[in-house]
Amino acid sequence: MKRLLQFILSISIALCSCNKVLDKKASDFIEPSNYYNSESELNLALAGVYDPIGNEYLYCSSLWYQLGICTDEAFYYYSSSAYSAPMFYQYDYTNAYIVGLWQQCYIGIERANLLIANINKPSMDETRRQAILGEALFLRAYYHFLLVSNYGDVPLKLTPSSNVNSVDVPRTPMKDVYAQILQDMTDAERKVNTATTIGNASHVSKTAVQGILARVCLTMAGFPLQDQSKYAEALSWANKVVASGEHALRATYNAAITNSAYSQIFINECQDIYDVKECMWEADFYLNNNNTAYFEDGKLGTMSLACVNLDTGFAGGNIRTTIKLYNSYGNGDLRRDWNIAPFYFNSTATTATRVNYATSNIIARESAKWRRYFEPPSPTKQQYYNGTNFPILRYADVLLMLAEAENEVNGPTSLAYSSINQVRRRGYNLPVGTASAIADLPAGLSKVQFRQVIMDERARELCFEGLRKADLIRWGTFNTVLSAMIPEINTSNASASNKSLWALGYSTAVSSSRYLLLPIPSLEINVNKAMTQNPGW
Amino acid sequence: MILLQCHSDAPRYQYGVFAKRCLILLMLCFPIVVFAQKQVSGTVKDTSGRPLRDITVSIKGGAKTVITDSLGRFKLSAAKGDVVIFSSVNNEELELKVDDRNQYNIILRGKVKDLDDVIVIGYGISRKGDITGSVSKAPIENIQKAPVRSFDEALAGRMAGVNVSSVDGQPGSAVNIVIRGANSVTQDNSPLYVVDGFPMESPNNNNINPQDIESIEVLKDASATAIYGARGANGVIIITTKKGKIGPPVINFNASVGTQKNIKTMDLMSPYEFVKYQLEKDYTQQSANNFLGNGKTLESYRDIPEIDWQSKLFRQATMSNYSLSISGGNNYSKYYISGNLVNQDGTIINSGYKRYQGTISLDQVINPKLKTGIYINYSSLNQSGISPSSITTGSVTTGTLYSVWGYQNFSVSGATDLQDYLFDPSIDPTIDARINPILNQQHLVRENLGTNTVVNAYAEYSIMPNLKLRVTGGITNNLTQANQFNDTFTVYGNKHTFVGAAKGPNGSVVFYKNATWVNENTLTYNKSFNANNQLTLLAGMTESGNSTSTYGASATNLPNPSLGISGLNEGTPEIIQAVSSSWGLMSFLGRIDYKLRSTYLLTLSFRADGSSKFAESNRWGYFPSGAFAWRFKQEKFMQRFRALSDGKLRVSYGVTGNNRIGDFSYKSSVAVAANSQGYTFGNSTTSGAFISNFGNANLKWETTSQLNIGADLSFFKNRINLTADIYRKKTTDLLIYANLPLSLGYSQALRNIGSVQNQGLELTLSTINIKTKDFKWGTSFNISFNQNKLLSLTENQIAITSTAPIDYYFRNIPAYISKVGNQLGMMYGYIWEGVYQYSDFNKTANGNYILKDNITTNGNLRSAIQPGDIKFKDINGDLTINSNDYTIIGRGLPIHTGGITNDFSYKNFDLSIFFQWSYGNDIMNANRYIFEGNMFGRANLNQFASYENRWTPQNTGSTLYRTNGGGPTTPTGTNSRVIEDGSYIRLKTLSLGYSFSEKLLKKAKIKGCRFYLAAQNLATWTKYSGMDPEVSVFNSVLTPGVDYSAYPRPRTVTLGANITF
Repeated sequence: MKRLLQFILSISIALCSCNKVLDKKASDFIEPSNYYNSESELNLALAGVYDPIGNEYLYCSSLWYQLGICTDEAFYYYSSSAYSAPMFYQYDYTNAYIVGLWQQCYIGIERANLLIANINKPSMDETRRQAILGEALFLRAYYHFLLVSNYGDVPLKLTPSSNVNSVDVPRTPMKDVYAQILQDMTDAERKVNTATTIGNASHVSKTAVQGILARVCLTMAGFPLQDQSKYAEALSWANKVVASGEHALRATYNAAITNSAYSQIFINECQDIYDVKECMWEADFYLNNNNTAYFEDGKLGTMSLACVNLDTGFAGGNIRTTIKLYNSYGNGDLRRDWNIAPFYFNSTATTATRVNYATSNIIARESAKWRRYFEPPSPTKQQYYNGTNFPILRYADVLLMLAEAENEVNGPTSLAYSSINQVRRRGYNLPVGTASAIADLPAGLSKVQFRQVIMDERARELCFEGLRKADLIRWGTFNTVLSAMIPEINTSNASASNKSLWALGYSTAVSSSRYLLLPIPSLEINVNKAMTQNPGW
Repeated sequence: MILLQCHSDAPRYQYGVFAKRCLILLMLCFPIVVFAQKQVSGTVKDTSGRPLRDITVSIKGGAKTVITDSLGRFKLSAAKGDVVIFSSVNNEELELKVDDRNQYNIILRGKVKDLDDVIVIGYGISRKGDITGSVSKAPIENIQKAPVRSFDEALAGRMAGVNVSSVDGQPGSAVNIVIRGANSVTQDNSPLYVVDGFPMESPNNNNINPQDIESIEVLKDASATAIYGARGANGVIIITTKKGKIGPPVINFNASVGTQKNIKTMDLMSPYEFVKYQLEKDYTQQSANNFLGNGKTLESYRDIPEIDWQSKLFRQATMSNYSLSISGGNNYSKYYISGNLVNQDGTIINSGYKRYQGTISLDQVINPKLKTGIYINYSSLNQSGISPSSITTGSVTTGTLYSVWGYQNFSVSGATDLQDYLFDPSIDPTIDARINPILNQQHLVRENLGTNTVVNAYAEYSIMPNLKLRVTGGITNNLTQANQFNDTFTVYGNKHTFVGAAKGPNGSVVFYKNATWVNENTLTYNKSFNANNQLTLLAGMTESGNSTSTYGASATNLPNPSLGISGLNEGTPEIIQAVSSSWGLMSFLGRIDYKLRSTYLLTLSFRADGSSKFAESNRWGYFPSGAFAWRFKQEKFMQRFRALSDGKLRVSYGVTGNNRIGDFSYKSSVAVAANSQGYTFGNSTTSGAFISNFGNANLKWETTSQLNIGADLSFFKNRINLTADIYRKKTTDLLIYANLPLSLGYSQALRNIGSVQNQGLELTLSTINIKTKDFKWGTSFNISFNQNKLLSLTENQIAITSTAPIDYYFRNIPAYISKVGNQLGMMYGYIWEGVYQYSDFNKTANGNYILKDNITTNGNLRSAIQPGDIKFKDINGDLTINSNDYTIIGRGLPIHTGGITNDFSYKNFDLSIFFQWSYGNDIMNANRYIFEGNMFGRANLNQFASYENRWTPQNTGSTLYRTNGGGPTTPTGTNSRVIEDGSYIRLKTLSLGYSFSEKLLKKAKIKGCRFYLAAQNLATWTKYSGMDPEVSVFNSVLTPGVDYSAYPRPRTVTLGANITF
C-alpha cells in the first residue's frame, strides 16, 4: 500500500512538472487575443491595414504600371519578357502581378477585419475610436472594390479568418459585393475626420470617402453591373465633395521652376509636399533620409523619362505615350507637354542633356507627369525608388465625375459644363472661375457628345494615374478603343520592329473578351475548391 | 542501465604485449588456507565493467570447464598453482595462476577483430548478434586515421543508408545528413544526434573533436529509432565519446599538419578572346573606345599579359590539428582529459576555421551499488570568410566567383592597372556588382565566433542486482557572435555600387544563444530465467527544454570605417534584432527485449512524447515499434552449413515522429514592423501591426511508419560479412507550409497534409581477403538505393515548384518540381535543343534570315531570332516557348550512393584507401548560364574558355549558341543546357601509416608511435565540368544540386604523428 502511494505521488510530481515543461509561453510575439488593447495598438493595426496601399502590386507600381498601361494613353516601350508580360496582356493566372493584387487586397481586408472585430477593446476617446473604425471600414471596402472591379465575383470577407482548414471559400455575386462596399463606405463617411482635421493626404478623409463613393457608383452604373440608378448616387456624392468647401483645384505654381499650376501638382508630389485641396487621397511614400530600416519606397517616375544619371534621377523610360493622347490636347493646353515630354535625356553616369523630339516624332514620346529631376537632392536619389506620392483621388477627378454623372442624370447642364470647364481652364493655366473662349467646351453639346468629351477629358487630365483601363471597361469601350490603337501604331513613323512590338499588347487585349477581367490567381484556385475561373481563362 | 560505457577501442597498435600485460586487475585479496583442491569463484567483466556471460572457464591441461552465467559469475574447483583459462569467441584469452585467494574478479578485453561487436543503441547497448533493428556502426578507426575537423565530413560513403551532403567546401560549411531519404518536404530532415545519451537537435558537430569519439552508430529503422519517438523519424546518430579505461595513465598525442589546395580552376578566355567576344557582343562606340582606341586592333591583344584572378583568390592553405589526451583509471575512478587545437585556413583568401576545444570526463564508483560520472566539453569556434555563393539582393553579380571569373583579365595599356583599383571603369556599378575580387575579399569581414559548453552528469544505482536506476542530467549552452563588416573597399559597403549605395560602410553584430537542458531517468531490469530465456526491461521518463534568443544591431553609413565593428555606434542605426523562443519536451519510454536461446530475439518499444510545440489537445504523440530477429544459424538444422558462420533475419515495424517546426507555429502571432508592413502618414513612417503567423491549433506530429526487413550473414569464420536491408517508409500528416487560398488573407500556414514515401535497399559487405602473419587485406563496401515518392499534397495541389534564385530574374522561375507520384526535387525547365541552323530560316532577298513559320521560337520575338541562337523544345507544339513547355529536365537525387574501403597492413605499415561515389544525380551548373554564353547579356564580362567554341558562321557545327544568341536576356525558364550528370567517384581518403615496433619504442619509453600521411579528395572521376560535383548551394530536398559560385572542396594532404606514452 505504501509503495502504491509512493507510486501515485511520483506520478503526480511528474505531471506537475509536465505542465511546467510543456506550457511554454511565447516570449517574442503577442497573440491576437492579447492585442488591440490600447489606442496606440489600434493605430499600429490601422497602419497595417493601410500597408497594402503602398505595395508593389497596388500603388507602388502595378495599378499604374504593370496592370495600368497599354491603353489609349500609353504602352510599354521594350520587348515582352517575364518582367514585362503584363504590359502586353500576356499574363496568365500564375503571373505575379495577377496574384499580387489579389493577395495584397485580401491581406488588407484581413487586417481590417481583425481591427474592426477588436475595435471596442480599448477604453479610449469615442470619436477617435470611430475615426479608426471608419478608416478600417473604408479600406476594407476599397480593397473589395479593387477586387470586384478587376476580378468580377470575389469572396466577400467580413470577419477575420479563423481556421487554416477552411479553404473552400465561394465567390460572392458582384452586386452583393458592391452593396457591401457601399454600406461600408457610407458608414465610414460618417466616422472619418475631415481633410482639414487630418491635414495630410495619407489618411482618408470624409471628402475622400465621398469622392471614392462617386467612383464606386459610376463603376456600378457602367459595365458590367450597369445599374443606371447609381449615376444619381454618384452625382450626390460628388456634389457633397464640392459642397464641403474642403477642396479646390490648384491654381498657383512656382514660376521659377515650371509654367503651370497643373504641373505644380506633380512637382509637389515628387517633393513629398502635401496639397490636400487638390490631392484628396494619396498613396504615401517617404524615403526618411534613406534610413533603410524606416522608409516606404515608391516608384512613381522611375518608369518615365529615361535617364541613367543618378543625380538627375534614374528612370527607365518604359511608359511611352500614344499619338491619340498627344493629339487630343488643344492648342494652349499646357497639360500636353507636361504629361508627354517634348524632349528626352541623352545621359551618362555624369551628364544628362535634354534633346528635343522632332515635331513629327509623336509616337512613343515618354510619359513625364512625374519627373525625377524635381525630387529633392537630399536624401540622395536612389536608382529604383523614391518618395513620390501617388494620387489615388484628385479633386479634378471629382469634378469630372460630377460632370459625367450630371450629364447622365440631367444631361449637359450648366453644372456639368462648369465642372468640366474648371478642369480645362486650369489645364490651360487660366483662372478656373473665369469663362475662357480657348479652354471652355463649346456650348450646346448633346448628351452623347458631352459624354465623349468627358471620356477624352479624363484621359487628358488623369492620364497615367491608373484610371484609364477601368474607365474604358465601365464605358464598354475597351475593345473599340484598343482596336483603334493598332492602325494608329501601324501607320505611324515607328520602325517595323517597334510597330510589331507595340501593337502586340493591343492585339492581345482585343483578341478575347476575357481581358475585361483578370483571371482568378493560381494560388487561389489551386487550393480553393469552391472557386471558379473567369470565362476565357 | 549502462549507456556511457562501452567497448574498448584503443587504437590497434596498442595491442600486443602491453595489452596482455595489464589484463588482470584484482580487486579483493583474502588470505586463504592452502589446500590441494579448493573452490574458486569470481566474476568476469569487460573493461567497462559489464558482466560477461558465456565465458568458458577451464583449467589448463584439465577437463573441467564451466561457463559464466548472465552476471558473469563462475565457480569451479582448482588447486593452487593451476592455470585457469578464460576464453570466448569475442574476448582475448586470459590465463590466471591460482594463488591463495578463492575470489577472483577478472576483466577480459574484447578481441580486436570483434570491436564492432558492441553496438550502442538508444538507452542501452547491445551485442551485434542480438540487434533486432537496423543499426550501422561507423568505421571510426578508419575515420580517425585521416584527420578531419569534424566527424560529419568523414561520414560520407561510410555507411549504407546515410547520405551526407554539404553546401560546398568552405571550412565549416553546413553538412547535411539524411538517413534513408527525406521524409519531410519542407521541414528539417536532419537526424537526431545523441551524444553520450543526450539527445540534441541540429548541434554544431564542430564542437566534438573526432579524436575524442569512441564510436558512432546510426539507427535507421523504426525499431531502433522509435525509442526516440517524436524526434526519431529522421534517424538517430549516436555518438559515444572516449572514457577513461582502467589502467595506468595513457597519454596520447596526435599532431598533423597539412596543406589544402584547390583541385580545379576554370579555364577562362584569354585577353584576345575576351576582346574578340566583347566586340562581337556589342560593337558600339563604347567598346570600340575601350579596346580599339589609340590605333589598337584586336590583334594587339594577342600577347598582352593576363591577370590570373583565380590564382590570387585561391591559395595553398595550411591546416594543423593537435590533440592531446590523458586517460586512465582504477576500479573506482576513471578519467579522460583531452584538448584540441585546429587551425584551418581556407583555400580562398580571408577564410578559415579555428577551434580550441577541451573535454574532461570522469567516472567514479562510489560504492558497489552507486556510480556517477561527469562529462564536460568546451569549444571555441571561429569561422571566418564570406560564403562565395551567398547572393545578396538576388543578383548573381554579388557572388564572389562572379567577379573572379567575369572580371576583365588584363589592363588596357595606358589605362590603370586593374589589380590596384576597386572598379573596372567599363562596368556600370549601378547594375553590376562586379568589383576587384581580391580587394573585396580581403576587406570583407564575416566572422562567426562561437563558444559551446556541454556539461553532462549521470548517476547509476543498483536497486537490486538485476534492477538499475540511471539518472542523467545535462546542459548544452551555445553562444555565437556573428560579425559582419563592409568597408569602402567592398561591394556591400561602397557607395558607388548598387548594393552599397544606400548603406555605405556598414556592419552588424548579432548574438545567438541556444541553451538546452535534459533530464533522463531510466530503470533497467535484466533477468535470465534459465539458460534459455533472457529478458531486459527498460522504462524511463525524460524531460528536456530549450531556449533560444537572437539579439543584434546593425548600422549604416559609418563615418569611420577604420574602426570596424567598434564604430557601429557612429553610424545610422538600422533595425534592432530581438528574438527569443523556447520549447519543452517530456517523454515516457519503455522497451522489452526478450531473447530465447540466443536464437529468437524480440524487441518491443514504446515512447510517448509531449511537446510544447503543439496545442494542449495534440500535445502527446505515441510511437510504438516491434522487431523480431531469428538467428537461424543457431538452429540445429543449420549446423551442417559450415561455410555460414552466422546468420540472422530481422523484421521490424514501427512508428516515429518529427516535430521540427517552429516553437509556436500553432499559435497566431501579432508582430509590429516598420519596413514592408508599416505605412507613412504625414511624411512619417509608422510601424504596422499584422499577423505574422496564421496559427493552426490542430497541428500534430508528422508521422513516419517504417517496415524494415534485413539479413546479417557471415561466412567462413566471419571473414565475409554481409548485411542487407530493404525498407519502406511512409510519412503522413506532413508538416508542410501549405498554400492557403489567398482570400483568407494569408498565403501559407503550417498544416498536416500530404505524404511521402521512401523505399530502398542497403547492402554492406565486409571481407577479410587475405590474412597472413605479416600481410592483411580487408575490404568493406556499402551501397544504398533510395526511391523517394511524393504521395500527396494539399487539396488539389499536384506539385510544388521551387526556385533556384541565383538571380533576380530567377526568383519567380520554377527550377524544380516535386510532383505527386514522382520524387522530390526534380529539375524543371526547357529542354535545350542546341541552336537554330540556317535550314530553319528563309533567306530574304536582302540577305536577312527569317525564321520559318513552322519552327518554334525561343521566347524572343520571331523576327529577332537568327541562325546560331539557342533553341528549346516546343513541348505543346504551339510554336512558342513559354511556361507551357516546362518539363522535367534532371533529377536532383542520386540513384545510389556508396563507398568502398580497402585496408592493407604489411608488417608495420598500414594503408587505407577509401572511395566514395554518387550515381545518377544531376547538377544544375548555373555558372554556365553566366560564363558560357552570358545569359543576362552583361557588359565586359569574361567567359569560360569553353565558350570560344560558340556557333559562328564559320563554326556552324557548334551546339553552343552564338554571341548574343541566348534567347531573352530576361529568361523565362531554366533549361537543360547546363544540367549535367553529377555522378562521381572520388578517392576521398587515402592514408598510409607506419607504426614503430614495440621493441624499438620500449627503449624510448613510448608505448606506441605511428607516423602517417593522409590525403583527402585526392582524385575524382566525373563527367561534371564544374569545379566540384559535391555541391548544393540551395541545400534542401526541394532544390538539390545547384552549383553557382560555390566554394570548391580542396585536396588536402596531411602529415601526422600519433604517439602514445
